[in-house]
Amino acid sequence: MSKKLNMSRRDFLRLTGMSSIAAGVYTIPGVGGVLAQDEREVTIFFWDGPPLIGIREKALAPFDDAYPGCKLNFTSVPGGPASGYNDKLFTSLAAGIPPDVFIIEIGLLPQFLADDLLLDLKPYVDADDYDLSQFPDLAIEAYTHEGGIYGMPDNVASIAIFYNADLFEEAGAMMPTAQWDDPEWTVDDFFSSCEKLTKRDGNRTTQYACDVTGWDKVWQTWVRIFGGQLVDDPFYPTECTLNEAGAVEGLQFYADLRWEHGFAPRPEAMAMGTTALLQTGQLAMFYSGSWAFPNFREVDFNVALGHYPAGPGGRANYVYYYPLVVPKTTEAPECAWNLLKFFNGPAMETIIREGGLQGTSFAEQEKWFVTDPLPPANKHVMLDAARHFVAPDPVLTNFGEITQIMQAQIDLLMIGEERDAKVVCDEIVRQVNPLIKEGQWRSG
Amino acid sequence: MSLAQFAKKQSGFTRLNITYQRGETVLAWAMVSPWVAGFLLLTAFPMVASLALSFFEWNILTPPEYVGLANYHKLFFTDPLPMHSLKITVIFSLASIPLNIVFGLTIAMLLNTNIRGLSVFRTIYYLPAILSGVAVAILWQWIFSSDFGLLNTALRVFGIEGPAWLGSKIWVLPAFVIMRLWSVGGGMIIYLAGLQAIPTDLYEAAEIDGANWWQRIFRITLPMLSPTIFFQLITGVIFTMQIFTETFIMTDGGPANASLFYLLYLYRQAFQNFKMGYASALAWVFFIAILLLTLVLFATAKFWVFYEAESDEDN
Repeated sequence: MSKKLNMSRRDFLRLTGMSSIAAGVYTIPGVGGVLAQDEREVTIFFWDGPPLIGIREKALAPFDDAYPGCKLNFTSVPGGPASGYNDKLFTSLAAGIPPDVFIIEIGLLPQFLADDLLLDLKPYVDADDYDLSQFPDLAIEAYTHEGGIYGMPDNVASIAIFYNADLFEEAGAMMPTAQWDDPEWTVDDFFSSCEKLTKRDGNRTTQYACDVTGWDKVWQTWVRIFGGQLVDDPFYPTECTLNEAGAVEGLQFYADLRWEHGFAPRPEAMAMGTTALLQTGQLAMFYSGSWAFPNFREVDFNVALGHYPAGPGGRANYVYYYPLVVPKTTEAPECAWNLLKFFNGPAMETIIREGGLQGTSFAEQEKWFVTDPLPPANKHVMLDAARHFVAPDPVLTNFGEITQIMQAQIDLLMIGEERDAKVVCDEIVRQVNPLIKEGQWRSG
Repeated sequence: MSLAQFAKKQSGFTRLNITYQRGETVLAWAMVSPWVAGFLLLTAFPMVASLALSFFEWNILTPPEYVGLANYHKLFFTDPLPMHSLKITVIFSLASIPLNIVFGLTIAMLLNTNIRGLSVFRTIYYLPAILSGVAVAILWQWIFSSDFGLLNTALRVFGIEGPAWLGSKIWVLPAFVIMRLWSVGGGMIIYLAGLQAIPTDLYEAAEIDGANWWQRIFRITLPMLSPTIFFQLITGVIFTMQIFTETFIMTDGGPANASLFYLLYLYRQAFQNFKMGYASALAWVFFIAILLLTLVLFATAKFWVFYEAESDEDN
């Protein structure tokens, strides 16, 4: 027999009011966590857009079960740093309620470190005896400051040469090597292949050999191939060295591929994208990362990956190494660390397999990049490039601004407005050196 | 009724009236309060805050640091890019605004005649004005492609090898001017409304007096349309000087800063370099520049803008 609960209107209103207040207090940041001692919410910010959207969230979904006591709150602002992500992140930081884990561009890391905003992960690494050798050394070194470690990789993304193997075969040209330590595939071999691959019909080029792009990571790699560097010491930069002989020679060689030799299409011809040029057989090779793999799943020619050629400075490459970081103010440091471990552990396979990312740990990369039968061929080149990654961005608080200055001058070379690389490099050094002083934030 | 009784009754009416008026005032304020609150919170406060911020160095991550006039000093004396970007913006505006007025007006005049399918033509011309800026930018990026783009392919039919529109320091600004012409439909609708408001008896009288087509245009149409043209000029200046989306999507200021419009430079400082104080100074200088330009245009209006009411008063 049920008993009816009698409650006066006044009591009902009191009860409702108190419940509302309790619910309101619970939602105040931090209070809920304190009250619910057995479950800590850990918020992570990503910027995933298509085709990655939903993949990392799916890969991280089992985290709650793997770490009872931690509850994941996954937030994604699609489109990357310039499409609202940084606005949301910086607003949350200014408001004092940042996420517990978030991705940032590597260029922002020095400012975050200079402002002492990040949690040192070294104690957690030591406590768990966590194996850092599974990641590129230079990435971890870039996240390290005064003995502390302030980030874990979000993804390492190498840049390699994608090439149409059929066009190479047809032209009898040497193909880019897939072995890092191959003594062949030098700058001279690259040049010789370009000569064979470029086809002309009167004044019109019907097939281009290679791509010359203003993409900063690519021209910087050519600088390194010829023995040049952007700055004297990437970790403690004091001056720009782009006007030294190797750097100038590298840039001149790279620009001349387009303007002197006509091996590469002019920039405006690439509005449809280099991928489209390669897909339509009008271009023999271009530079890209693993994100371009899906574009070559169903092409009717053989596409493969190769390394940059070796020059006076050896073989070079660039690898993106954006970090995932934890703010110092997090109320859930243990859960944040567990999330980083889970991200780089059980979640990584799904992220690589379904998300098309290169991934972080070498072990997971090997599983996929060596065994995947789908095109392009030689995917292990990406892994090799990450293992031999040698050129981190200069650690300055204003490297983004410096890049803008450099890029405006490099544009002159890329569009043929200025044909002498030395003139461009001298101007870069003149403009950038005062900014380097401005962006220094630690002494070596 | 005694005088005292009358006075008492009157004061009661007055009191009632005042209460009613007060109630109406309160109600009116209540009705507009969302907009007032919105204006104060979302427009007035950020403006005042940005003015204050322009005297600080602030990267969002740490508390602002007072630097006095340093941001303004940098803007005018040490950083060459603000003046470079302002120069580019002004050159673009000087080319784009008159062309947009002329084209918009010409199309409006053509569509103000009695031809078959008039509403279809009006819709076609207006359509680009309602498209999203980002979509339009991507579309034009393809149109301007020199090897495969629609524009150069069309030029090739006439034996002309088109330039590298977006890859050339010389052609990138003309490319943006051409692109803006595509969306003259928005202005055309306003000119069309202005043209239809001109009394037809003026044209009839002019025709009787023997005025030819040119005389009717210059003596009737343009003077009668001058307030509309003035409106379009003012809004055109404000809109054109604020060009951002196209360059952000299509060229990112390149090549070699040739399309680094002022707002793109401001955006870079604020949201890529996180120099909020400097960006605020840039914003205020730009605001004052546009304000002064608008005031100058208003000052010139008395020489060439004719309002019907004024001419009636003169008569």
